[in-house]
Amino acid sequence: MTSNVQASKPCPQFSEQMSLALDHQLGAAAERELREHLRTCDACQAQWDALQRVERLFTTAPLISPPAGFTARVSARLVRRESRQHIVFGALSLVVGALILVPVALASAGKIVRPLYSLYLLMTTPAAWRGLFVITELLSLVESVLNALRLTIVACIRSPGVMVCLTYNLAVLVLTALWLRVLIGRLLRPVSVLRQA
Amino acid sequence: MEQEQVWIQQALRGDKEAFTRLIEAYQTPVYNLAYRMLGNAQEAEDAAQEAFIRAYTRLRTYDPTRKFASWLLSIASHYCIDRLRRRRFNLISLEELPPWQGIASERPQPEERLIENQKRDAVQSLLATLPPHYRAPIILRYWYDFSYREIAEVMNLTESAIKSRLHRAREMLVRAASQADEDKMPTTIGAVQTARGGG
Repeated sequence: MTSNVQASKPCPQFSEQMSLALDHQLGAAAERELREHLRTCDACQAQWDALQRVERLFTTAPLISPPAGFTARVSARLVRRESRQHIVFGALSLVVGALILVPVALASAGKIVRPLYSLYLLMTTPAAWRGLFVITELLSLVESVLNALRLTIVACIRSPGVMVCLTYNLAVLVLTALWLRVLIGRLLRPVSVLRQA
Repeated sequence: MEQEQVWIQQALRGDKEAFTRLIEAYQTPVYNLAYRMLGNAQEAEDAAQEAFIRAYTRLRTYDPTRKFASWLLSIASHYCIDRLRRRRFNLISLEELPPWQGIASERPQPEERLIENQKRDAVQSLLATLPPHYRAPIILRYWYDFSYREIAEVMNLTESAIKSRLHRAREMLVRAASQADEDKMPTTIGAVQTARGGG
């Protein structure tokens, strides 16, 4: 039978019909025509028999179940995947936050250098001048801070864009803080788990 | 069906316990699909797990008017097809098939068990001769009794494409079975029938 299949090919016009017949998708008339043809064509009959053997093998093959504990393994993998995503998201927030804070830090640097220089001078000038110098510098510092605050408030009122930027910065800072909390918790967890074990 | 939709809605709200129920309900169909597609237990486990994780992360894209099983099996079958393509060989001959690495044990087995194992080997050997995009429709047809329309939905193809693929896949299976019979391979239909006492 096998050699028949290889020796002569089944008729092309009936070949696809055999597959449809196996799936019960062939109309009654077409199926009758196929049956009649099979009685007269050895090649097609051999192909039909071979198809049916494969059909029997496949239709009686059972569904295979996974080894025990599959659900628990998927759940554990899901938790691992999610925590990895959280860490990646947190790291991204941290980088963005840091990039935004760099210009802020650079802008503040100018304000910090001057009081530091004043402090240096204060330490090196005669004692008689120190008191006056300290008061002057403190007043200058307070004035600068108040000035900066005034400018920030005016800018926020006049430009909604700055407000959005500040809100965004605030959000980044909060996210960074949250991420650090999660990261620290994660770093400490293995130790506590080991202790419990 | 009603309960399944409840679990889906709960899982969408972040309830992992509800998703666990869905895994329990569908673990065998998904694992079986992966096993039949990939041919070994280890890869099937990994692929089935990945299919469920992808389903969880894409749950918002699930259309409740569709059958959940079709949607889930669609994810699993596409993942397995991708995985098979990454293996860099689509068609392997029966001679190239690796020795069986599945659940079969080395210990002496009762006759019925032996026949079952031979049958499973025969099925997997034949499936392994099909390219991935022909293998999936055959599996969905025989193990899930899906209609042409359902297979078309799962595979994102037309019904006529599915008819054509099933037809061509069956021709390939017949050729592979004939070849195996001629080579007198132990994992063939003939061998299974002989072990049953001819049938």
